[in-house]
Amino acid sequence: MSVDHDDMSEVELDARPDAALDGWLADVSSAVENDLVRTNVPWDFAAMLARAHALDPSVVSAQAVAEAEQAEPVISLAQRRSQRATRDDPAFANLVEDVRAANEHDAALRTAAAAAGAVPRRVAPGFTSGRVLGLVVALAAVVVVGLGVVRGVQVLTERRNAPADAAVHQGGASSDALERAVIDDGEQESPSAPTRLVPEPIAAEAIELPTVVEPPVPIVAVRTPKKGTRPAKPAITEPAVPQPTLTERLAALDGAAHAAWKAGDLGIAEEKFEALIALAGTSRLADLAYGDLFTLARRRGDTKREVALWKRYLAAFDRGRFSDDARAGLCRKSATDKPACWRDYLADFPEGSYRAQAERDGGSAP
Amino acid sequence: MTSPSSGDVIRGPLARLIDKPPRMPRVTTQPRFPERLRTSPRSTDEGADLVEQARAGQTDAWARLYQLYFAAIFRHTRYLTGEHAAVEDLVQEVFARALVSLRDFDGRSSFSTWLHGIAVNVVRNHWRRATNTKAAHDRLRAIHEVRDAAGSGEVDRTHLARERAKIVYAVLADMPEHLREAFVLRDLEGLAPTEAAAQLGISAGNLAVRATRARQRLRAELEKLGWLAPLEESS
Repeated sequence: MSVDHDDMSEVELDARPDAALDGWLADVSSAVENDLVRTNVPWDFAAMLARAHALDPSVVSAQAVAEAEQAEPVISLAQRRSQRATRDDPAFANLVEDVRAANEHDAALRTAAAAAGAVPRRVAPGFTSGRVLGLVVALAAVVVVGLGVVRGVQVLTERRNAPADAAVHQGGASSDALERAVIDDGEQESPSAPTRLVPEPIAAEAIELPTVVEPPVPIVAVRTPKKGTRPAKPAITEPAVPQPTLTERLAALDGAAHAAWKAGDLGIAEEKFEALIALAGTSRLADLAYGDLFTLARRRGDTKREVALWKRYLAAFDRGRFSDDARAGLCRKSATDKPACWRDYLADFPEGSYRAQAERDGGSAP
Repeated sequence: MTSPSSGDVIRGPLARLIDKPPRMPRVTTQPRFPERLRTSPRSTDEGADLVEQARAGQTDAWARLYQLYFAAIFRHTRYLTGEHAAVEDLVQEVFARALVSLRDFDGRSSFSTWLHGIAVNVVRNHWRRATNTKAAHDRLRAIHEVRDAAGSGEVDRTHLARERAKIVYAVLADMPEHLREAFVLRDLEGLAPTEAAAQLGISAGNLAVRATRARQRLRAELEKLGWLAPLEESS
């Protein structure tokens, strides 16, 4: 049976609950939002000006268009940061997962090393996938032999992890504020209580990171339990003061960087972003921090640093969210063979934001 | 009755889910849309100054406005079109048209509202170029084909949401644009009634009527196609 719509005004009808349709509409909004979060929005101020010039040359001169085309690729802080995930977004879960995965991996390696009696060493920044693979194989062997050890570590990890994790994820005021400082732009705040974003907590405070630039954190030492007995409580070197979690450290760095930026201290801001990148490795958080560094370098008019940053970024993020901009920037600054650079750009980014310029300046292949 | 009357409408792997709306997992019903999905264009002092400077011909000021509003206009346009492919060009068109029309901006509304209104006009033109009834029907048919080709197995929420979005936008494409835009701004993008009305240049009451009519039509179409049960049975 259908509803007799004539019995009520349209506005009254609008107020009628319709959970099924609302569910559909919420799905539509969620699909669009997910798409927006995943989108690396390309934009080109020069192209827009060219279009405006075509619409009305009396408002936008050809000279203005030419000047814009010669300018650096623009990194929009507002726009890029607006894409930053909030703690309610799936993208944030991915981001945290990236960083945590790096931690978990390193923790596993260290646990294995400790169990095997090796002296734990800080992993060098030039950490390669081949070395990782080898160590993972070694780890697997150790895990098979020493399940009791692992269980002991798990017990320890769970016990040590619980309070800190709760502080971060269950609304502890200070950590909550810090976390928001990293992932929010202050535009929207969720009224609901924060929810756990990562299924299994990792004892981030009990491990070291692959590329940490800060002082080392004490390593957990583990003894092998005797057969048939419960795993012995591992002897640990408790830090005098609880170490901040990885999330807190990242949040603190990000917050400090932006505070310095806001205060006009661009040098300190850069230092903090650099530290954040060193800590976050090749996670999306590091990717985003590079965007901030590009903007800062541009604000300072430091072209050399900009070029160096683009190169460094591309070495770490071949297909990151700023790769398109960085490649185009390098082509614009290329002192040798600009056309070849633009042709390479076009080959790698056939749908890139700067394809118009690449096509124009790339010329034809020799 | 919830079951579709036509066997050729509901087939394929989604049929099991679509066939029985009451069993579908609900995303959210109260409030209708999460607050985070709502946009809140703001007019700041900085924005007002920049507009004045841009009107005076300062390209730098326009560049800054472009920076400030690009994301919001991209989002707005994405919601209105329901597709990703054309958005980039449409957004550039919005800013280009706004720049050449800047002298007409009289400040009666905020710059943000004015700019979003231009976006609505640009999207209208896009609709008129790109949309006709046949195309809308073709899209709906294509969605059925996608469903049929998707194979069996559990459909995850993300996929289901995407499929539903396609269906809703396909139905909207067959709707008069004045109803469609009111509905998208109000019910999908979640703008406040006054803001949505200002962008469309109509009263809030008129907006409510248009959005409600669109909603009725959408529901009727989804019922007709077998994706929603009649209201009494689904609520």
